[in-house]
Amino acid sequence: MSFNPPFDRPRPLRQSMAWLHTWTGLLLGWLLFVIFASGSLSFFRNEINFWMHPELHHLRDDARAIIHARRVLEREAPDSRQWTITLPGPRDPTLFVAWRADVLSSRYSSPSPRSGASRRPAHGSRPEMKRLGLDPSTGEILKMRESSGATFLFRLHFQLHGVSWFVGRWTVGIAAMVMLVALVTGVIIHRNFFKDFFTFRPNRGKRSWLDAHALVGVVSLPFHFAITFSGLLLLGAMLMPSVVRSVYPDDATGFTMGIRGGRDRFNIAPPSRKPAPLGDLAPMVDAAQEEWRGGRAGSVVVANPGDAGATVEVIQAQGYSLANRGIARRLLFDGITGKRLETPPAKASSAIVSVWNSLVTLHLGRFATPVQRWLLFLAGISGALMIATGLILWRISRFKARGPGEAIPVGCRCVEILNVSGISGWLIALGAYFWAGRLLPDTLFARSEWEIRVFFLAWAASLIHATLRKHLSAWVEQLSFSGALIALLPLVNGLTGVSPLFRSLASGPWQVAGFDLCALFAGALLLFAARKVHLHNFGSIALHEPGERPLPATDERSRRR
Amino acid sequence: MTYPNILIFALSAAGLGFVCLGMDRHAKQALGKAPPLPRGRARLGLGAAMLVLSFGSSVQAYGVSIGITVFFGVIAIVSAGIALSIAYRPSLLRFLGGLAALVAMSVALAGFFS
Repeated sequence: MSFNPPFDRPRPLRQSMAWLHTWTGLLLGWLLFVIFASGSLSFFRNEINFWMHPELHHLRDDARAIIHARRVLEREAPDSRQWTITLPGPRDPTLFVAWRADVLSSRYSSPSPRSGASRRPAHGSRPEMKRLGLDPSTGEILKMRESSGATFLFRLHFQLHGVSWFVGRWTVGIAAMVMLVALVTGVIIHRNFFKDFFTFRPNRGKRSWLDAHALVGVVSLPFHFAITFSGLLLLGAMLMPSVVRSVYPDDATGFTMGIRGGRDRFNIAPPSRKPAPLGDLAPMVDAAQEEWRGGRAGSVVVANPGDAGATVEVIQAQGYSLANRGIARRLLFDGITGKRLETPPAKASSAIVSVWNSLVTLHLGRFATPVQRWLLFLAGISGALMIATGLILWRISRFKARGPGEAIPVGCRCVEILNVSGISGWLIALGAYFWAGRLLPDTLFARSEWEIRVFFLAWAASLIHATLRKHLSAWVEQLSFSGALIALLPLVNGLTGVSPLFRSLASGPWQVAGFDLCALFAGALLLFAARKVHLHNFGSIALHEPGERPLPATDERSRRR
Repeated sequence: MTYPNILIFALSAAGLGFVCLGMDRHAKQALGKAPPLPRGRARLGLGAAMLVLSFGSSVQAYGVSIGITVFFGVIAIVSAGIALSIAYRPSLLRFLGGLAALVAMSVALAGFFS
């Protein structure tokens, strides 16, 4: 078999595109699988985080959270210039309070001589924030265990791990670009886009894998394009810094501000320096929720508390459009009297900013109601499946193209190993990560680091295992192991927490019940897949001499005969 | 939020079901024989119309940007489901398509009269 670069002679467009699709897809396929899978899980970041913190599972919201939050803030941060209260919601029952650590006097009395000369204006820099998690029904400060939670998966999704964020994001950016290339070429080489729209022919070897690859690719093609392109946009300012610099030569924060619609989150009106007691917050929240006709208030920002010029801003929990960056509605109140204040009308965003916002917000999924979140998640999983089936398809094609009795080329063997450890091995690492998150002792030093170490150790073990075992046996064993790991997560949760599945199903918290049910379902699917591969493997061994490596190709032919 | 979700889902399912049964190969799989050309065309047209309605109700319920997103998400799931049902239980498709059309109609009527 000789290697034919596509440039040696003219060939039809489709053939060149097929070459490009095959090789770009293969080179970055494993990385893209990790990006898609961890990104899909990140749509449920709050829920996964919550599951990994069983010490929070007993929390119940009794609608008095705002009173406790204020009490704690008055005790912990009486001099702060700004308080932020994140109210408990259906995705996370924890009450969070945060405040700016820079104290009033020091900021305004003597501006440091350096700041005037600094190229970076003060408004763009992020002031130091302190944050506390509270029990919403008592206001007690929660001691949360140290856990990387879903944040690790989230970061893995866009900046990988173990390399600097710069290298990681560049790598992910390149992978996204390649994904876009693979998507476009994939559409070009797909012979019957509409005629084969619903086509899946099972039990036909390579044909079935091709059908499956095309099916998961085609049905959510709009999503794949949107998510890949918006991912590039999110990294765009970093990938193409000269574009930003050409318009904002001095200061990249101007670009960020322009995209955000010019709102400056960190710039607060100066205080009047006359003390006055802050009014009751709860009626303001109620007034806002009434105005939004049931739209839940998500957070409350108090500027200059304790000052006569205090203002209270109530922000809706959920956005209602993608075009304004999923930004929620907000109402401003006078902090002393509780009277509604006129807010300057939000500037309508320009067409370009709207398009940017729509794509970016879609990617981040902040707007989504539960049903929409599930749609995004499933579309993301279909992307991961598309990549996985593509990788497997590559291997099957090479394997079939090989002559009888010919040894497997080294490159093909490498792809086999990387396929097993990149797909099922990643799932093992994921399962091990969740196990570690729940089983590592709270007192362990650098506990959150250890969770991540377990993830990578499990992944490395899967790579070694895949190297040592025959291809199909490696698949069967790793799929069954990952299935068992993931399916047993509800048991781990039941034994190490206060909300076993039977209880969480009956009386909440539903996030934990949802996680457990998904783990059961995903584990069952993986075990089912393992059984399928096992039967395939076993079935074909019966047709060959004992000990001979089964050839799926000959297997196909002999079955048809 | 439940009502528009059911409507969008049922309209998409019925629409894609009709589109699928309007295609020769799939009609053979699900119904045993390919439909005569005009009937196939009619099914495709009816399916497309229902998809347009589904898109419309999605946009109406959620606004343009989120509406488009929801519509395509639902389409993806429904088409994957239809493809699997043709592959493994083709006769199921007739039943499910009919059911979806029925649900879509009743939900639409309920919405109209409420």
